[in-house]
Amino acid sequence: MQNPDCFQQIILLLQNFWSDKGCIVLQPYDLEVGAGTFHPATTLKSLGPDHWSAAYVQPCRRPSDGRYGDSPNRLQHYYQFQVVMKPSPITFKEMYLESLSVLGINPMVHDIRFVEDDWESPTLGAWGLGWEVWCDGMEISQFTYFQQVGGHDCKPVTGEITYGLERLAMFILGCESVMDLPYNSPTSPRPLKYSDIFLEAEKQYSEWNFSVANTEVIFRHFDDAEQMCQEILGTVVSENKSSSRKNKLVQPAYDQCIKASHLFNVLDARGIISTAQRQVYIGRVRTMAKLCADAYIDEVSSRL
Amino acid sequence: MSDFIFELLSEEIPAKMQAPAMHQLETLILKKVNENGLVVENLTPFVTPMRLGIILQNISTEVTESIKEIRGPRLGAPESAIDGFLKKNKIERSDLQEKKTNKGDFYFYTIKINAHSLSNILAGIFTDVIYEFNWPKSMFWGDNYSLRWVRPLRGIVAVLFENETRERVPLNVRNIESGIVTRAHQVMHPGFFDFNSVNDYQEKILKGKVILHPEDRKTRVLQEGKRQAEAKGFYLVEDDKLLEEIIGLTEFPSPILGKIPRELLSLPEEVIITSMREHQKFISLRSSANGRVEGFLVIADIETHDQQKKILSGNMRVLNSRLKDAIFFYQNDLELVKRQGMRAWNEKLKDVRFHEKLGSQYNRVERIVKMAVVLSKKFEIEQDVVNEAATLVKADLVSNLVGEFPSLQGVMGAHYAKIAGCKEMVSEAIRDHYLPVGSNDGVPKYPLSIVLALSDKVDYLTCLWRIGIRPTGNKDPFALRRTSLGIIRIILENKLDIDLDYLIDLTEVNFDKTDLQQFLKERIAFYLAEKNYQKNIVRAVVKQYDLDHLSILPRIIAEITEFISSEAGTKALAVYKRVSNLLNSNKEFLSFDKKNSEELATHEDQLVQEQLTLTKAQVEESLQPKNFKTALLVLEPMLDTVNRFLDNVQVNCEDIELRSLRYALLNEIRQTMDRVLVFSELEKK
Repeated sequence: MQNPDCFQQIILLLQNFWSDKGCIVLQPYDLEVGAGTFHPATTLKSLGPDHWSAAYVQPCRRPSDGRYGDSPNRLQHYYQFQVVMKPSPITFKEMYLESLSVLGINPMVHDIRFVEDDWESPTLGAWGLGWEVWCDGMEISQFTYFQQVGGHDCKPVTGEITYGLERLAMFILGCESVMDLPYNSPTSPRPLKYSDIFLEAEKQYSEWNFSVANTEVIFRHFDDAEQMCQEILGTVVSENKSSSRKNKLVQPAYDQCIKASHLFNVLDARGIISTAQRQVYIGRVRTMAKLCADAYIDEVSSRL
Repeated sequence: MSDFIFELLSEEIPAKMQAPAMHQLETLILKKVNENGLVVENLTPFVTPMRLGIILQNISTEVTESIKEIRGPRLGAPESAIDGFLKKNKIERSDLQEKKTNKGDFYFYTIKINAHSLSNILAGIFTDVIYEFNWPKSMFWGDNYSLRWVRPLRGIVAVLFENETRERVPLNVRNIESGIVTRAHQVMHPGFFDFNSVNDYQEKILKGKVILHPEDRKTRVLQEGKRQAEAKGFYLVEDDKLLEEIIGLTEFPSPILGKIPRELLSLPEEVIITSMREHQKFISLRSSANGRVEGFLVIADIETHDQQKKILSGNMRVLNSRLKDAIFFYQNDLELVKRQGMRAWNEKLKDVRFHEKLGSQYNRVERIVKMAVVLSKKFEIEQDVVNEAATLVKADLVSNLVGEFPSLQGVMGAHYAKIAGCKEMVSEAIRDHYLPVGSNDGVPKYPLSIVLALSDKVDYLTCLWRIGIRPTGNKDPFALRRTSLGIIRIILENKLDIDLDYLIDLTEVNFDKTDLQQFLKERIAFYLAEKNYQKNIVRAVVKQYDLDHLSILPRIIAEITEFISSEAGTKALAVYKRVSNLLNSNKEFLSFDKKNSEELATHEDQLVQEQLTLTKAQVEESLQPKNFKTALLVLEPMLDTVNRFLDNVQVNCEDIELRSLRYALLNEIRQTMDRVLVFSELEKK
């Protein structure tokens, strides 16, 4: 098989690969998130007893990593490819290594290493044990066995793989700068580079995040999102008379939690949250995540 | 004689947990082997990222069989009862024996039980070991929650070689069935294989590119690394911690030499070394020609057909982008230092919180400056110099480069201070004031560095102590123990005449320092005990002498140790014990005032009294100039007198008054001895 020659082919190969391994291929979540883990297909689905396997691309936003498109490897908007399998299959690691071969990374000539990196998300109240995966000294993936989310034990355990798509592509395609990545095949009638599509956006968002965004409004939006999240979870849906279940609207509430998390990231990038305040904001997002997780668990157990 | 091979195959075990796990396995097995009556001549534990295991060689069992007695009916019991017993145990009348017990005479049946087979004993031991094993962090995986392990456990190898035969030792843990096959290197030698002896196992696993023992992997890194380095005109920068980590990340460490591109060499050497070590686990190489760091060793876990060219070029690319980032940060810093000096950073320290109850790093620097100025008077350093150094001591915390490489705090400060035109000693003090960090670090040696280091640490310790932060059990998140130890080591190892009480009073804030003093005493005792002084002597001495004698404690301890092991010392201990035993058994006499009955004293009593008065005076005289050795020696004449006294008189005599007098005398003798040394502490283990 031929090695991939562009960014989009890497994504297609990964989707096909994991689809063959039994994952449903989902689409990105339609909100700004800091990592693929925030997608409800990972956070919420990792709770409760149901089995679940999914793979999807997730665009991620990290405002403080913006470099106006000047840095060869830092972006405020980039892509992750996320795989979750629950319960984690015995050969999950072997599947991952196989996926690298599919992408053209031959383990016989590369140095692939699993280096301890325990994952913890203070905003999600979540943690797991695992590794970062190095290929010839470059970190290309995160590999985690979830232990807790929103303060709840994960039983069964979800196995999560996160590929950093740009890094991986730079490695496979031999590019020194992310902006040089061929997005589609260089042999296609109209070849485009990563920069053709994203350079201007990187400039605009860096400008927006670092200097323009009205932080007073963002602070307010944060408060609003928090208030809405609490209101939604405080309300029990029981209007539908045909239903005997009384469930909370977990997903809409969780959307508000995601929004608050992103707004916090924007404020943080701006450097206007002091270190002391920072902990307070993280704590507020964590509380929202915890409430959503609690409600989700309630909902799942009421279905049993 | 039998041999046993045991392996737990798992997904990658974190590097730092491997060596402790290997020792834990060995300890657990040694214990269980003994408990189960096994004798093992040779025990070889091993660990790699993918496996934890042990080889037991020449195993023999002490217990071959055991005997169990079953009591039957009483002698003379009805025949039906005896028949019942025979039927129940499926035995004949001739199998019964008669035996007397303290409850009467009974029929007994003795059965011989064959001891468990070695295989069964081993299965039991190793199953227990797996369940009892304690990882610092462990997890569940999949949907089976019957075992927590460090990472998913993938296989158990348990093979017993007994009399030329090979046997699977049956273990089943978390639905994992033990097997007789193992695997070697994942990539270079995939697939499982079996083996026929310990030798066969060791040969095959090595051929399969796995070096079982961490020390052997270390040797390979060093030998192979040196060979390559020397061939290209380099030598290795020693770094044991890094080496430990590297051998925890590889089953077959294979060094590859690379050269750092010239354009990246403009960075300070420390930055290059740190970036290579922390981000890529490279071993730095110095050029034999100029001593500069210009090369590195990537330690891959694989040998490839392309002479590892792809691996090296991939690593070079990462190194390039990392160091280019670092150059960008470094140049930003340099520009600021050259334009505005390091003080510009101090303004930024106002935004860096030290602790929510203790203000910013800027506030902390202000306190350190004040303390350093006062403390420096003991060292004859110019005020201006102290002031400058103390002011800049934390400036680099907000530099770009330290933001990227926190472990370079101090080092970059020193570098920038030189560029800003500060004196050499100021630069050195900024670098060294964090010392000592680990127990292997040296302490600052130069007066200015000592002043900054002590001021920084004392401020840190007292401030956090004041707001109620304490180390508890094995938790010490603010490293207060390490900080205290640093203070103690700086004073002791530089033989400084500085009182700890004086130091902790330098802090401006007032609070009750009693428990802090107690804490420091414990730390001193801990430190001295670590230095191989006898624990009981350390405790006795630390208990006796206040924090103001810190610098002479090692001397006192050495003198006392010498004394205790001498003939006079043995005698002193014996007398102390003799006196104490009497006193402890008759505590009611202790409050007696001997003046009331002095006229009752016999000749013996008077002799003791005279000697006591003389010794007391001599002890006080020696203690005044802190001459402890003499104080110990002048006790000797009194010891003989006391012994003779106790031999010749009856302390517990009929006359209550005289008895009281004698107890009072004994009490005074003990007090006099305690003035020199709390002998009672010496008796505690």
